[in-house]
Amino acid sequence: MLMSGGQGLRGAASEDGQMFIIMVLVMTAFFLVGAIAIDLGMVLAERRGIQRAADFASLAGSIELPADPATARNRALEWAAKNGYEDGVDGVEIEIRMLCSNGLSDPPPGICDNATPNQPSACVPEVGCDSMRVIINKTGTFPFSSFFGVFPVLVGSGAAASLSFDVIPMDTVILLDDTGSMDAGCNSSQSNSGCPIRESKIAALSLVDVLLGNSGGSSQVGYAPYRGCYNPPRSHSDCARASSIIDLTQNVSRLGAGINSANAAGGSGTNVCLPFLQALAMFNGPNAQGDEGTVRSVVILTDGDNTYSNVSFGQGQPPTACRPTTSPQNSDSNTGSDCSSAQTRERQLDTRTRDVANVLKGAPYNADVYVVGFGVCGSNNANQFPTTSYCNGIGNTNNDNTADRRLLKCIASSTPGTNDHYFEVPNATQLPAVLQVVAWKIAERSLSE
Amino acid sequence: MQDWTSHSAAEGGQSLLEFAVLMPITLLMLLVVLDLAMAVDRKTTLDDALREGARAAALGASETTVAAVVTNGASGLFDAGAVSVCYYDVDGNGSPGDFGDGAMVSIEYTYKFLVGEELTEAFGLGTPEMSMTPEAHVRLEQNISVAPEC
Repeated sequence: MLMSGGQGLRGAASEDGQMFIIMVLVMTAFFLVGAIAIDLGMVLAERRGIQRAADFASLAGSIELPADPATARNRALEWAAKNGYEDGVDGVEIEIRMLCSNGLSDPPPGICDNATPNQPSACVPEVGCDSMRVIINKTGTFPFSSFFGVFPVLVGSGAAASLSFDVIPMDTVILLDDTGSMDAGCNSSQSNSGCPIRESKIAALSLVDVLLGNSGGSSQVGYAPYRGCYNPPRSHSDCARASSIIDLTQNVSRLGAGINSANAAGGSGTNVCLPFLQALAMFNGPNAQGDEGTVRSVVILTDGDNTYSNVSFGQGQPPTACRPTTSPQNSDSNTGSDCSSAQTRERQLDTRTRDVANVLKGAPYNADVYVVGFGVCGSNNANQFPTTSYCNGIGNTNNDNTADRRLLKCIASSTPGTNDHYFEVPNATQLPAVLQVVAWKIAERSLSE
Repeated sequence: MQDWTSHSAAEGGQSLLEFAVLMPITLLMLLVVLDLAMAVDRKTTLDDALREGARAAALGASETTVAAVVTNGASGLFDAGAVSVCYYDVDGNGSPGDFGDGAMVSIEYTYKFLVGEELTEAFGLGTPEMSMTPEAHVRLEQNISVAPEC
C-alpha cells in the first residue's frame, strides 16, 4: 500500500503542472497563429493601400498625357507621395512606364516604352503616349514578423491609367466651317500648307484619332461641315452637302472620308447656328448613347461671322430656329460684307446661335461646347471673359470686331471667369495643335482605370 | 487505496485550478487576436470605401455625394459626418476645385475592441479602442463648383 501510495504520490507530483504546460503550449500556439494572421492581414492592408496609391498616382499623371509625359511622371510621383508612398522613402520604390497605344504618330500603334521603366524621355518624341503604368513596391516589416526576426516582406502593386474611353461613354460632334473664308490662301486643290481648310481637316482627323484611337472604347464621334444651308433640303450647289454629315460612330474610316470630303466654297453665307442643330439631331438620334453618364461634347471651328445669303433663302432654307426673321432680299439698314459691321439679320442669327448653343449646354444634353475661333475679326482681349453682362450683349448693335468674338466666347462652355473652352487661332497652321489641346481636354474628362 | 484516491482527487483539483486560471487568459488572448483581426478587416473596409469616395470626388461629385458613397461603401459603419472632403489648389490660381487640383477625402473612425468594457473597467481601464483616420488624395478630373479648401 505504501509502495502503492508512494507511487501515487510520485505520480501526482510528476503530473503537477501538466495542465499548466499544456495550456502554455496551447496559448503559444494561439499566439503564433494569431500573430501570423494579423501580420498577413497587415500585409494585405498594405497591399490595398499601395494599390490605391498606384491607382490615384496613375490617374493624376495621366491628366498630363499625351502632351507632357515628363510632367505626367512627376505628377504620378507627387500623388503617390500624397497617398503615403514616396519614392525612395521607407523602402518604397516606384516604377513608372509610359505606354503609347493610340497611334497618333510614329512609331506606329503599339506599346512604345513598356520595356524601359523610368525613362519617359523615350516617349517624348512620341507626344501621344496615352497611358502610364505606376508600380509601387514597398519592402517593410510587420509587428510580429519583425519581433520574431523574420525577414522583411516585399509588398507591391501596380495600376495603369490612360486616356482611353473604356469607362465613360462619350459622344463628340465636330463641326467644321467649309465656307469660302476657309479657302483663303489655298491652291486650287486646297492642299497647300497653311490652307485653312486643309489644316482644319488635319486637325479634325487628329481629333478623331485621339477620341477613337483606342478600339473597343465607349467613345463615338460625329461630324458635320457647315455653310449657310444644307443640300438637301435646299437644292443649291453652294450649300454644304448633307451627305458629308457623319452621324455618331466609331468608324474612323467613315469619319475620315467625310472630313476629307470637305471643300471650302462660298456663296451660301455662314450660319453658325445650323451645325449646332446637327449636333442636337445626333444627340437625339439612334446612334446616341443613352447612358445617364454619357459625356457629350461639341467642337466647332468658326470665324463667328454669321451671314445670311440669298442662296440660303427660299426652298429648303434653314429652320426658324436658325433663320433671321427677315429675308436677305430685303434691304438692311446696316449692311456690310466685311467684319466691321453687324447687320440686323446677322445679329438675329447671333441670337439664334446663342439660343441653340444654350439648348445643347443645358439638360438633358449638358454638352461641353468647345469653340475654336479662326480668323475672328478684331483683336482678342484675353482678359475678356464671358460674364453675364458681356453675353447679354449678343445681338446688340456693336460692330463685328466685337460681336463675333462675343458670340464665340459666350457659346463656349467656359468655366466662369475663364475662356477655358474658347481657343483662338490667328494662323491656320496652328489649328491641328489647338485641336489636339481640345482633344486632350475632352479626354481628360474620361480618364479610365 | 484510500490514499491513492485522495491523491487522485487532489490532482484533479489542481488540474481544475490550473485550467480555471489559464482558461480565461487563453480566452482573453483569443479575443484579443479576434479583435485585432476585426480591426484589420475594418481598416480594409474603410480603405475600400475611401477609394470609392475619392474616385467620385475626382469625377466631380459634390461633398454630400462623396460622403454618401463612402458611408455606403462601408456598409453604415459610420455616418456621413465622419467623412471629410476638402480641396487644395495645385495650379496656383488661388481657386481650389479646378480641373487638375487636388481633393482629399478622409474618414474618422474608432474601432472599439470587443474585449468588453466590463472586463477592462474592472481594472480601471477604458474600453480598448483603435483610432483610424485613413485619407486619400486624388487629382480632380472635373471642375468642382463648391470646393472648401483644406
